[in-house]
Amino acid sequence: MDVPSYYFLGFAALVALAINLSSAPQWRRCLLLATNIAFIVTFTHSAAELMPFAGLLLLGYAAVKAMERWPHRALFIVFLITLIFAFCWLKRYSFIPAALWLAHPYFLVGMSYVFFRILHLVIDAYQDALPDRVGLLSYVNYTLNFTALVSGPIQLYRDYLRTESQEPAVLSASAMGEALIRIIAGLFKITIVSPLLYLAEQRCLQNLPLLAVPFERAFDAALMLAIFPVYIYFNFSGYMDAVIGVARFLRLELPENFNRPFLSKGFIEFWSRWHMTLSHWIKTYVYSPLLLALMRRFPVRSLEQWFGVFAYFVAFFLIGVWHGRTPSFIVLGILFGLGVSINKLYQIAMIGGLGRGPYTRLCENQAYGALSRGLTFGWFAVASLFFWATLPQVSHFAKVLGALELMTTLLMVVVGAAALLSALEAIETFFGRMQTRLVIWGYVRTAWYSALAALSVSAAIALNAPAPHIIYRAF
Amino acid sequence: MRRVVSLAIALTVVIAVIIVENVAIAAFFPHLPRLTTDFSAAYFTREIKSMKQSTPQTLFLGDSVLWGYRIRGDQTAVSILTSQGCTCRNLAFKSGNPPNDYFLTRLLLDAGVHPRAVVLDVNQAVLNQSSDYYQTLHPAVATLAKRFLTPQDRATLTIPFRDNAFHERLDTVLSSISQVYAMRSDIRATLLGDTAAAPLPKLNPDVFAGTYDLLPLDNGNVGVRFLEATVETWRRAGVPVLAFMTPTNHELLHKYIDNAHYRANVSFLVKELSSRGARVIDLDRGFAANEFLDNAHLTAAGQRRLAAKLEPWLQSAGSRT
Repeated sequence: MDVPSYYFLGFAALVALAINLSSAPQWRRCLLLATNIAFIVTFTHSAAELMPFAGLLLLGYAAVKAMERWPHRALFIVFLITLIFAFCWLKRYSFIPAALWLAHPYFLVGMSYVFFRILHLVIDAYQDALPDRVGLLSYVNYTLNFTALVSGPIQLYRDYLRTESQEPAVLSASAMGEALIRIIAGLFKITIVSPLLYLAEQRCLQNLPLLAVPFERAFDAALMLAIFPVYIYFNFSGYMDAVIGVARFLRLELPENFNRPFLSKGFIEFWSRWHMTLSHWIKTYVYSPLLLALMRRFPVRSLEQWFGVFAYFVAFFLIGVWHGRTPSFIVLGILFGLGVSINKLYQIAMIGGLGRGPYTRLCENQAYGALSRGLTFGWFAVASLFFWATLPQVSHFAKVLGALELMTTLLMVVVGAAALLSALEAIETFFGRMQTRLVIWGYVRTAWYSALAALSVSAAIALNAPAPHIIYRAF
Repeated sequence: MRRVVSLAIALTVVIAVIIVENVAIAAFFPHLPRLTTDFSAAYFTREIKSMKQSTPQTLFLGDSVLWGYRIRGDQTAVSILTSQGCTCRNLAFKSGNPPNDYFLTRLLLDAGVHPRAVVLDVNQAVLNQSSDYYQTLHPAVATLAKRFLTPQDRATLTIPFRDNAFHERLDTVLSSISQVYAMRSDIRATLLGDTAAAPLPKLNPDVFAGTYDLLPLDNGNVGVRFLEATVETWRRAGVPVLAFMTPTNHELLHKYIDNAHYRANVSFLVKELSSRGARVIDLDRGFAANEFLDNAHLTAAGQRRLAAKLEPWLQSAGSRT
């Protein structure tokens, strides 16, 4: 079942009706378990396809229970390594010889997200940071939560448990209205905005070798480079909007994953607004432990900030590498890692040179802010190139453009993004003011989302296709 | 009260969006250079209306050869002739065959479309009775030409109506409300493209074994019957018809079609169509092997040559502006 297709919405609607018949924790847990399993079954043809995934889940549960009972460091490390190896093996990472891979096809949807949830439980169980002992039913429901299985978000166990059975979220008329609005916004992003952006990006890609005028070529390349991050944003955040809305009807609360990321004025800030649950996970389980370990091993105060730079690099390098299994993703990881660590180095240098106060004032300057946004977007756009293009393709683009056109392209992306994102922020501020001043704002909102709903249905009809493809589904 | 107002606003906006979409499609959806593979009844009705207002001088009826299989719409012979000043309209489509040509003819004449000439592509492959495909009506043609179908037609042809009356009624209602729904297949093909993208497999003559039914053609053949009826219908309406025998790749198909049976069938078709008043040009052997993509579908160069072969006749029929 594709998410968020109209079939998915229908399926979720039936579950929502059933789950709201009773607030009893056992009813909710059992129904969610049946739903999660039914949802997974829609992706498979036989029980055998589910076995490897079930094996990973069982291994994870055994690790959690072992850590609850015997929280020994050596055992923890053994389980951690085994889980990481099992995940890489099932995901067929290229450093594992192909001869060792399982030959038959098996279910992989959402495995990365499930893996993050399992690691979170194992680490927190080892550190005795879980709210309670993890029951089998809650474990399965948490890891396989059908609203977040395909592409996240990566929710913390404590937060999941709260609305799953302890305190289900209140489902008032206004909450239902808000949830509906999220679903409509998500469908609109996925069915209309993201396919249009994809078409535009593909057109730029096709035109690039055909253009003869250098300026036109640079402009086309700049558009191609700039459209892709916006496309991923609408595709992925549209999915998030839809599943957050759907979960709300089940009285579950999923965490937000995006917070207007392109308005960020630095790469570190960007990662606190983009794929937030993943970056939070990485900061909690990679960045912080690594930084602490380095500071304990080398307790020199003057080195601490350099350790921070290094830990940032490692953490975000891993995020990049996680996205895929080919060499392009190593470059993606390096660019993500460099982005945050250069940003951190720059902050250190500026605070050291100017002092904290003047640097803060500089950051508040509008022109400086716009340029920072343009640079942040530009860096992400260049890094994203390695997300969708292979290394030979990237080298081909570079050859087609040449050094001067390449520089012009990058300049266009940075300046264009700086101008457009500042305009976007101004528009957002204007609407923010309208919201507080305009009495009929609620009706304007109703009208707006009704129009989006009608357009989304029209787009689905016109395209007459299966549910739109979610890029992150592959992970 | 607030909820009632919100509901009323939502409903009004949805209706307004549908109206705006309908108006936008009527105003901006293009007249395509050729019909899409799954063209809709709504799109064809719109085309008929536009042809009624300004009738093109020459109409082209036929199958995937004239439609331009695996080439762009602007590379077809009809598009080339249009660019040379002919007010032509390509009504050939991918799954075209004689029954479809006949019912299109009836629809056009019934709507008052009287061109100066009609060009008909006569492909011996589509007269093969062993394949249902060539006796199947296109869904849009079947929907629009329902009133012309006789009991005998219904018995002979495969007519893709919906089995479920409820679905058919629902489809009709939705199509009357929303143009996006009614023309969804045309919109999709326009946005996403309608030309096969997969590379052409290496040509192997054996793939075409059985493509040409070499049984002697006669008036008992469904395709022949509808072909003759098409020519006669146009003739009765006073519209001259040029029928051309589809160029065929004899080099590729040598072992299947270079024989007396095939030639006899070509002669039969030329004789029958001529006797019904059509001007017939035999292009069966007129093209080189490198002008074909396969057995009969032409490359862009082949389409250019087809345009050049048809052009003198269009001149003489007064179909050039």
